[in-house]
Amino acid sequence: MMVQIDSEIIDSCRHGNTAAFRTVVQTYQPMLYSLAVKMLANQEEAKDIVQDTFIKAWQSMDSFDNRYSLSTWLYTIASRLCIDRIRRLRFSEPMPDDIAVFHDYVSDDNPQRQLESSEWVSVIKVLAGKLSNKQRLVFTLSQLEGLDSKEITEITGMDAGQIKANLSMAKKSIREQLIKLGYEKD
Amino acid sequence: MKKTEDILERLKGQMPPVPDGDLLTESIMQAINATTDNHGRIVSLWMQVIRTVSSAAAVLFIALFIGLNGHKAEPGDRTAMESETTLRTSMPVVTDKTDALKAHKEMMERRKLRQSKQTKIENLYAEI
Repeated sequence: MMVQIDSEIIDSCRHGNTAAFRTVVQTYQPMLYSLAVKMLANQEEAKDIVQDTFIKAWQSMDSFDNRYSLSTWLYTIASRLCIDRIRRLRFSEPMPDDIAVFHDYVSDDNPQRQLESSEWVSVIKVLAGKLSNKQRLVFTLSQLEGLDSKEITEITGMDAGQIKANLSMAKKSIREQLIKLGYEKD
Repeated sequence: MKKTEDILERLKGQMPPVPDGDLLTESIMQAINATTDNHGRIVSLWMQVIRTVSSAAAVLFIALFIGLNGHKAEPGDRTAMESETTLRTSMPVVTDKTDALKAHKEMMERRKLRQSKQTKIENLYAEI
């Protein structure tokens, strides 16, 4: 789900062109919001993370390394901000409404159905409420955002073994949660 | 495990729509513009703080300057009157009654001394 942008726009941003940076914001805002809302299960906190990510990126545009893609760099900034924010947030247990939203989605016959932002919050609360920070990050990047192992290594700094281990533990925890809710057999 | 995999596969790659995405973009751009000067250079937070503090200090200094210069001497405002008198005469000013009396006595003594010297000189001329 990585989006790429013209290198001329990046150069313009480096020279302080705010109009060029607006293009960057418009291009990558959905991608960063997607990551943040899945990591934090909170729409307002996710918007804050998106804003903070772009401000940090604008202020350190000079340190952007051209060898990496801009999306990877932005993902890296956003991931770190999300982890910092998670430490201060307390994940609440899924409420009956969240479980109802999840049930509604799972039992829908249409496999192409797209979830609304608020529905994502409920689904994440049900599925990923018990995951550690690292498991949550790897699970979100790999399973939900669809990034490959190389990209996840660049973003998180974890090697392939650590990524695999964290993803395996995350899936195990999610499976246990689905067994508890009666969607999966023990 | 199949059910878990099925659910995760359905969720993979879905991107939630950003609620009020345009408003969020505008809010981000406002924050970006606030950290950038007219030449497109990024102004650090410290620089912003220094600018604010120096502006406030300049305003305070000007207000203090105007306030002090606008202060007029009024009857009973001893300090202001004293300073005005000092400026006009460039002479020490007697401010106490005791000092005034002492100065008067000294002046009278000097006058007596002068008069006695004058009398002696006149007597000498008369003898000659």
